[in-house]
Amino acid sequence: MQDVLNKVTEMTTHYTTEGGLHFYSELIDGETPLVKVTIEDRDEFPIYVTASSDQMLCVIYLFDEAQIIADKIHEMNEAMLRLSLPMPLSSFAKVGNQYVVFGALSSDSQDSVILYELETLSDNALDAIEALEQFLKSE
Amino acid sequence: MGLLNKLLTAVRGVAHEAGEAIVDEQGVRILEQEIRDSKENMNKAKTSLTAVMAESMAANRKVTALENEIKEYEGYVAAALNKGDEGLAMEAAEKLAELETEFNTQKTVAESFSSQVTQLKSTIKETEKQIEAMERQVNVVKTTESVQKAAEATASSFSGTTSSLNNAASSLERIKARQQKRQDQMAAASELAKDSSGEDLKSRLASAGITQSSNSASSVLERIRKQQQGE
Repeated sequence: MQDVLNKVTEMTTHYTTEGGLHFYSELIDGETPLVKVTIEDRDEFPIYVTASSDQMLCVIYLFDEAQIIADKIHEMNEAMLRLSLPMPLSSFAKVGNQYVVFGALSSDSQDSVILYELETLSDNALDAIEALEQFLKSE
Repeated sequence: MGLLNKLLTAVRGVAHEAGEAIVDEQGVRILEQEIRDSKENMNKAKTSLTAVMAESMAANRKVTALENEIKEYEGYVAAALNKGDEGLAMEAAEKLAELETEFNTQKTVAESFSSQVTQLKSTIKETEKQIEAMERQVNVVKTTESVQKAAEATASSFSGTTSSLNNAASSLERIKARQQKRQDQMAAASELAKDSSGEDLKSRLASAGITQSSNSASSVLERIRKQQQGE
């Protein structure tokens, strides 16, 4: 598991995509180690990567419940369920009171697959917030 | 087996206060205990499978032995009858009847053992699958928890600016603004590069018809024509 995370850290440290996105990353040790991948200009939405023996989870925190306009929660949940399928590679989920987008992939995934996953997940997070902004409090 | 339902109990979904453990430790412990119980049950099932398979084999051997004995005594009865020894034939026939009764009993026993073997094997396979599924769930719960913990830890260590708890909509606005600024800077830089090379002025002069592009087809033709005339 640690091997997978080391690999991810290595490949995302100062990596630039064809589209010109600059990645940088750090390995955070702990009970369950994880990699925090940040994309330049998108610092507010870092990607957290964890690995178990069979899968890697890539997670971006979007917003917490408190940011949703109170009487629109149901409508937004509904919208998220409907958006999940058309959203490429990623799905919506909830961790505690936080809404997230995430992608799960095999721990055996090739480097190019992992990089594509991270880039797509980040794009999806920004797209999702734009689409869901109507349900969120403005400040 | 309702694994998702158990998971839902393990991961407290709603009304979660920031900083509070998102995973119900008790729920995880229950799941882990269930995994241990299932493993123990599976080991017991494997032990009884071995015993039942041995019994089943013994019963099948008995059935085969009885089958052979029955054939043997059928031969004896026929032989005694051929000799005209009714008394001996009767004795052999009595033994044969006994053997046939025992054969029927043993055959039932053997069949019941072999169906037990099939049953146990499928139970073991099923249990193994359940254990795997439960282990996967516990793993997901623990991973989720550690992601959450780490996210909170990193969010707090990066002051307010990179916190995921920040307003998502305004974060998006900031990102868009930064991207726009970057694009504007790049556009300005390329504008500046054009200016400094005089390209901009030249192209404006050319489009106004004041200067001619030196490599136009007509100018090339004109040049070659002049060279020919000069020769």
